[in-house]
Amino acid sequence: MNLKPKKLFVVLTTMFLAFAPLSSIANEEKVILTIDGEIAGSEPRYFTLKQLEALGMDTIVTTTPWHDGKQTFEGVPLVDLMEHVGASGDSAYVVALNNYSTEIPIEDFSKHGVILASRKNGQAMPVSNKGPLFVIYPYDSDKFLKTELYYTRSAWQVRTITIE
Amino acid sequence: MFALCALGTLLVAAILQVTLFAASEDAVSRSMHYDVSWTGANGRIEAAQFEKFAARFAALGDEVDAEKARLFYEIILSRIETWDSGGFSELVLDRNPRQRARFEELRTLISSIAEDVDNLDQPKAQKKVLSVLEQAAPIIDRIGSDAHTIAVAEADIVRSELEQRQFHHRLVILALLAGAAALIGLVIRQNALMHRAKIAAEKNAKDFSYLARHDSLTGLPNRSALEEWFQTVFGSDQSHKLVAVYTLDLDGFKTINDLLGHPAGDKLLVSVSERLLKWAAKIDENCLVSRLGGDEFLILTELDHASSARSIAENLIEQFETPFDTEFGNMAVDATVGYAARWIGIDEYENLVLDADLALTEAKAGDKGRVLEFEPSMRSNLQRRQRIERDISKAVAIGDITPYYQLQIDLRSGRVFGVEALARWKHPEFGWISPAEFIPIAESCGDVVGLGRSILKQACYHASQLPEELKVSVNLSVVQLHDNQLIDEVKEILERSGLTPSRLTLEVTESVIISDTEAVVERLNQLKRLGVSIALDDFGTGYSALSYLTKFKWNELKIDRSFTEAARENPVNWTIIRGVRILAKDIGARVIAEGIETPEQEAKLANIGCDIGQGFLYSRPIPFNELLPVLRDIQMKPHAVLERC
Repeated sequence: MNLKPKKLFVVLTTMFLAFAPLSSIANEEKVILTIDGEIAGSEPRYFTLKQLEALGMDTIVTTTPWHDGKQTFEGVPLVDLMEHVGASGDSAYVVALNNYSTEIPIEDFSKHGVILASRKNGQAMPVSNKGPLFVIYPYDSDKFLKTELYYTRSAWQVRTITIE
Repeated sequence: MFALCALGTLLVAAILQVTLFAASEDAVSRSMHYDVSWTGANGRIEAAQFEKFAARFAALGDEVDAEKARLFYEIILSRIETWDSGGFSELVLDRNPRQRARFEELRTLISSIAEDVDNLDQPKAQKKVLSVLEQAAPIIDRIGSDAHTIAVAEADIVRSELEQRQFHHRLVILALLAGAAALIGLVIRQNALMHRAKIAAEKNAKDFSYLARHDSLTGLPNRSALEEWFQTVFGSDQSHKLVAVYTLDLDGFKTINDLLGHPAGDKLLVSVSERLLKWAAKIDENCLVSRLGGDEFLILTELDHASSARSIAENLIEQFETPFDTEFGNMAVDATVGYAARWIGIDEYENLVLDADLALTEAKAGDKGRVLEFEPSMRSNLQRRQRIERDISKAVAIGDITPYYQLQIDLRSGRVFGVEALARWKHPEFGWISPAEFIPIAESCGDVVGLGRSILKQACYHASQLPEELKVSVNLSVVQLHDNQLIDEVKEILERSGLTPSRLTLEVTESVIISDTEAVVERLNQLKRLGVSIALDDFGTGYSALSYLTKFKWNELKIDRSFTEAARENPVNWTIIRGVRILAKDIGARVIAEGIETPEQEAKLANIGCDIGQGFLYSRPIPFNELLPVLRDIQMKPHAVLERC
């Protein structure tokens, strides 16, 4: 956790705004993702699950270090999401609900076809199952993706993305 | 073999490299366990967060804290899920059953407060949540710290494996380097060997070429070096040059070899060649001395004036006036020189050499002096000689060479003692050819055995038709005497002709006995055992070592005609003949005097006591068909032969 004061403020505000409806995933109108930083417009962008999935989804079938056997993940391609918000930075600073954070070079998104998974094996993911959003690389497609570097970029329980 | 080992090393290194690479891939996949420590630690933090928000809510009743507490409960559930799957479960929980039991207890504890978390505003639920968390905390701590320990241990294993791999890689690289170095070393060695082989081959080629162009005994250039000399002298110059070629042959070298042995002969040749080299250096710096083989040398020099050719030749002969000093003692030897000198072009040198050779042959054959210059007529002589060589075998076969007979008279009784058979050849083109000409040719070209056999056969056949008391003498050449068939042939001829062996006398010259004395004496004794008489021909000329008289029991000594002929001028010859007579009487041999032409000579020789006389006084050599009438007349009228012939 190494947040700058301004970011900390954004994060806390988002947390506050988001916390009320969090207990139920069934509520699709609940904001689950905030994107801010170097994006089009001066205001942060908020997304509900429905809004996110409406952007179009890709599927990645892969093994991971955190699951047994192959899993099917579905989610919006991060490259599309970045385009959607008009991201103009080089990296995405991703923060999770448990305050885990990681920095991902934007070029990863197009280079590796990274998705922000919202469904695992067809089901929306609750927080208790690494939901609601999970950064997924196609690990099985390239052995270089099966390394610590990409595993640490694979944040789960994602709540905020700050473009820098 | 060495190369195979080096290649083997490279191959093994390559295989090891591939194996090690596969092994390090395995090590990479271990990094799947990378975050066991992290995920363990996060579990502890999340539990602490949950407890913090739950406790704050219980104390202050702020709903925000309750929401946060609920969120972290979800997160802890997720954490438990995470722990129960993938690498964490495999590496940490399933390490031993107690750990798994601990985890299951934790799961049960956390699950048991699901409702309480939903109803966190009730003090009872708050109390239960905090109490369960109090029980769960040490389990989470334990699993979290175990995960860290395991991760560290795992990292250590990976590190040491990598280190080991690195070590193996180093070995492989060393092996590769060693293999490469070995191969490079091998290539360098091969190169060195090849270089050495090349040098050796070049040296051999040089040696062989030297050997091929030089005589091994004297070190002088041989015949094949002649062309080189001419090429050097003429160079690219097309003009004619005045060149003299001298061919030199030692007189009586064969006798020296026979008398003193080949080592002595060889030393003489070496000594001669040394003297010739010194002499040649004074003549001209380009003067070449070469040895053609045997005792024949060839000297080449360029001349300033044609007139100097003769003086150089004479100067060359003078080099033989001083005896040659060898380890076998001083040896005196004379030489004969034939030479040719004229302006020639490079393409004519072979003819010049042939001409000089021809001049030498002429000089050796006749008594024309020891230095002879080539003359064109010698070419026709050569052609005649070659023709004789060619025709001689055929002449023997068709009976063109036949024996003529010269009478031998008993000087005491005046009666005919016998006849000597002398080979005569009437050539269809050249007419009568002297035996002095064709017999040396026959001897040099090997036909003398056939010629001798033919004459012997005819003579025996003829003699068998003569009165019983008459003897027949036939000459035997050196070559015949060395022929292993001789004894059997003589025996067979005697049997076939029916001639009583005691009527046959075989004449040999001194030169026969000089070579290989023991074998020759044995051969002569074998002939004697057949009943044949042996005569020593031309006695008194040549080396005339009297010791021959002790080594073999001669039946007859024939005093050379030169003594009889010279006695008219110098009476000492009579004394010599008398001496031979006394000697012969002591060893039980008859004495035959040759060359009797006058009754005075006959009387003197009869007076001295010679047994037999032979010469033109009695008859010239006559063919067999003329012999019988002559014999008849002589038997009736002794001493009347002269008038008849």
